[in-house]
Amino acid sequence: MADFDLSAYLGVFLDEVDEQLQILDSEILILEEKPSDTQTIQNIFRAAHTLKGSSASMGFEKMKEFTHHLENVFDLIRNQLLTVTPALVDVIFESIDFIKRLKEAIVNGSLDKMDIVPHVDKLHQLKRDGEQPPKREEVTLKSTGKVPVKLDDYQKNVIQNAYTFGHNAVAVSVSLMKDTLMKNVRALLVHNNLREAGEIIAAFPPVEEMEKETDFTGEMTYILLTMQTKQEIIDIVSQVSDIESVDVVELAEADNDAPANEAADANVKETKEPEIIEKEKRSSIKQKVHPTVRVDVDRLEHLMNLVGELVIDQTRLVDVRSRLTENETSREDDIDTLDEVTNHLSRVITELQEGMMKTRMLPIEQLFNRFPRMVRDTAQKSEKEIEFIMEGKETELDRSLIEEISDPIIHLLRNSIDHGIEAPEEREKIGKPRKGKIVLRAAHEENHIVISIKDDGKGIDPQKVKESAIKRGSISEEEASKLTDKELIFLIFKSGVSTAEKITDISGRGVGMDIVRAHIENLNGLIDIESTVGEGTIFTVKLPLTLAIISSLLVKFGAKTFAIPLVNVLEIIRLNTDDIQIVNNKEVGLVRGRVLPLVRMKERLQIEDDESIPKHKHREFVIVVGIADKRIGLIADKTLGNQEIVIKSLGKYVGSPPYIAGATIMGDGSVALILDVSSVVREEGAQLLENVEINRKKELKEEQQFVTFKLDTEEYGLEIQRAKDIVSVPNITKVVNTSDDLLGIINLRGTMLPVVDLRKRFHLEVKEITQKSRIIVVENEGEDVGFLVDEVTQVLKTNHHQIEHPPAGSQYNHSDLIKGISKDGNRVVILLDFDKIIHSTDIQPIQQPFNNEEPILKAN
Amino acid sequence: MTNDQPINTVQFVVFSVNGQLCSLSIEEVVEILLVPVITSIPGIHETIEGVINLRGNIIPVINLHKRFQLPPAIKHKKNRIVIVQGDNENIGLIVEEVKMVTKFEEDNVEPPPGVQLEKDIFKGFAKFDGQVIGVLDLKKVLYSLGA
Repeated sequence: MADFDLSAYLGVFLDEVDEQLQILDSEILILEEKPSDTQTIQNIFRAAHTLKGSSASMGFEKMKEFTHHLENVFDLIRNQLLTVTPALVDVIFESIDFIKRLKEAIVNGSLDKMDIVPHVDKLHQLKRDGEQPPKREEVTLKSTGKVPVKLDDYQKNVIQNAYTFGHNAVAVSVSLMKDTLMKNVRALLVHNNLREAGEIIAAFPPVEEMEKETDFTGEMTYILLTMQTKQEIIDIVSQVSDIESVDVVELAEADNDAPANEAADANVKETKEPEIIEKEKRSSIKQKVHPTVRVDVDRLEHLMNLVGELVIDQTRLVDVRSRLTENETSREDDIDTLDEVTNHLSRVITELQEGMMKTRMLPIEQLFNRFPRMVRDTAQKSEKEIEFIMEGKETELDRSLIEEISDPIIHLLRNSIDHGIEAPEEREKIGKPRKGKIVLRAAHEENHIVISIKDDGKGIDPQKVKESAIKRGSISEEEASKLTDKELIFLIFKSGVSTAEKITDISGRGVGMDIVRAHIENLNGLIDIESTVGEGTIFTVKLPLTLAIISSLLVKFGAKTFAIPLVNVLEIIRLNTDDIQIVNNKEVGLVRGRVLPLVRMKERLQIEDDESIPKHKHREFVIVVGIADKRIGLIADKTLGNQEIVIKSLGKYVGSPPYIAGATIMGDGSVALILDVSSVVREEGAQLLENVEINRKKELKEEQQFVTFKLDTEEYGLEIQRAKDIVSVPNITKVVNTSDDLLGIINLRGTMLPVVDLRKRFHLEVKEITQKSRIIVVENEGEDVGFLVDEVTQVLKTNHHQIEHPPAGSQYNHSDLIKGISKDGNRVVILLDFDKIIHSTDIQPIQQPFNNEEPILKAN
Repeated sequence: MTNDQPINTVQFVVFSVNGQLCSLSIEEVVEILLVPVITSIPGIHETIEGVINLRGNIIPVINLHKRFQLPPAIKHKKNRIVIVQGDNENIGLIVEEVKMVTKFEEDNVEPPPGVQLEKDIFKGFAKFDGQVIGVLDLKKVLYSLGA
């Protein structure tokens, strides 16, 4: 072995160690719950054995020795000589941690300095404490092999299980030729070959003995669970050279007393324990493993870059193609071919891109599997009882993200355990179950991954956060008094703020949430908190699926095109210049009654104006972006649409200019810059929204908005709250026997809706339905009603000072259908009272069938 | 490093900046391009004109006129971008016109005179066909930008 260059295998070895440690961690947690589960013990034992084997082959003696002792302990558990107690589990966990340290020592090259003796002693102590008089009855198996074969209870159990899964148990006896050199190597080869054929549950003599050249005679018997036929097994074993004879004997099934093979004298007889029958449907002992290849991440990264370039070229092709149709109408055939090719190319590239993304994706399970252990330890330390549930383990995300989000999640979990969940006694007192519940959930939502951590603890008390924040000086009392509860809760993201009454070594020092937020911001993610005092807290983290190719919104700031990562874009609104105000020399916008800090990116970035864009506008495009908990509006000159972009670094030479996260190449080959939303938001969010004029708020309350529409030449208005939907005109199903006003019914997303022709209702001339015709769905008690109008114009904002109320019964309002008239300059909008319109319209005939269980009328 | 090689064994790319002839060792030059669309980046050093897309790679481009504190260049169709190897990446230099690729004879290359500014940028001067061609010190051109 010494001749090999082991360093080449070190990576593989370390990966394997990680894998096995992961298995140990999770399986031991199961063991703690179900101490007698044979499969779990089997898995644990196998993992420990693999660890020992691989560390031995790499020549890491100390690791081998330690894992050997650990394996012995598992062996005792397996043979029911040691009972599983919490104390035992603790020691095992400690040992696993120690192996992790050993692993690190191997990486650092300091393995020789590690002292394994105290840990080995602990394991020995366990053995001494737990040793019970052996109660296993030994079954002697006489087979054609020359080695005595004994199966213990545990192994018999496994065989029983195997039968229920349709496997066959066979005893494979192999004799090596007498003068064979390196018998132990042959034995291992046989062992490996058999492992391919099925599951080896026992070997006689034990594998360890086979490994020692001196003691090994060349005779061996394996007990194998397999689905292969006898001949197949013989063939498999015979691939190894220097084998004298191979014999395969079927072990009889327990229920079947008749020997399946005259050569097999022994039956593995066992009364089936009910436990085994009821066994949960864990996959059969031998899991189907898909063949995999380990690939260097750099290589993947390179391929990903190439795919990125293809994506860029493809958008360029599409771009050229669209320009061709404009100019070259004469060459339709060629363009058609080009079309075909570009379409096919796009499809292939899209699939390639998805495929590449998938290779970078790993199930979040890899990350989640670390948590149960951590939750258990943290809960124990903080004396909480916790039921930990994980959902959506199979959710896949980019491997680079998995590492990055680990810390924030651990932190949030610790917080939930330490601060969120109350002590068991306290919980009982307030009528909650003793065990606190924490649900960690991962799911895909469109192009994002959403991870939420929900606890049923005491929730975050905004007042406490406020006190803490004021005490820490993060915020003045005056400022704090203006914040909403939600804004107060978000203060926990400020450094130094903590609601914990006492600081533990787990959390409470108030530094953590700050870091969590920073982490998530770095990943271009968002974080949200929902908390109800006394009921619990939900932290939601929203992250982009991958970091390399992202969806973005293209906008123009002045003459420049910028890409804004779509994950940060919450909405795009158009804001009237009237709604933009100066507060503290800063522009803020009023959006649905909330104050939004605005940033004119063009000025911030000092970009020259684009001549084609008019300078003074009545309305501004505002892109509402968010990072973590903050929201601001960016004023853009133009929005260009969404596009998938490949993030490219600007390189070291350019460095990292302010507000710019990188660059990307557009469809026309030009370079667009990617806006670093987090830096803009961070800078802007530093000041809290203060001194917002209160009277402005008041005014806002009095402000009313109307959806306006046209009938003939007049403009009418409907309160925006009442307008549930505006749809273009679908097929209208005529209804017989109804009033003239009623046009019929339509099917609006599965709901039948009566539609009234407002023209008819107002005794106007009936007009054809045009492209501009719309149906406004008006909310109405009991049943919504649709009104057909000529055209929906826009939204009218007005306050009640501008509305004149015509006296009832005056000559132009004899039917009382008019609520008021709004005059804004030359624009006159008649505000209608839809309650009255609906009531005075006869829509009864179709109300009838609607109330029946089975509607007679069906929309197409 | 190419800098250490005797000056007469390598070829030089000769180009003009504001009428003055400059040259770079051909081993420092990656390629020469027509000037594509340059995307300027707000908030970076003023000598960096912006970035260009070179077959999918983002390459920064330096305006030599600004670098040498010369009056702003007038755009001309003979303008080229000379892509050179920087320490970590390729970097483009906008030049007025690429004249030729040639060898200098050792005897014709003189160390720079004592003028402070020129010493900063030039490794030496070559006499060629009666003209004086400055041999640029690429490292200094690229990395001694000052604040």
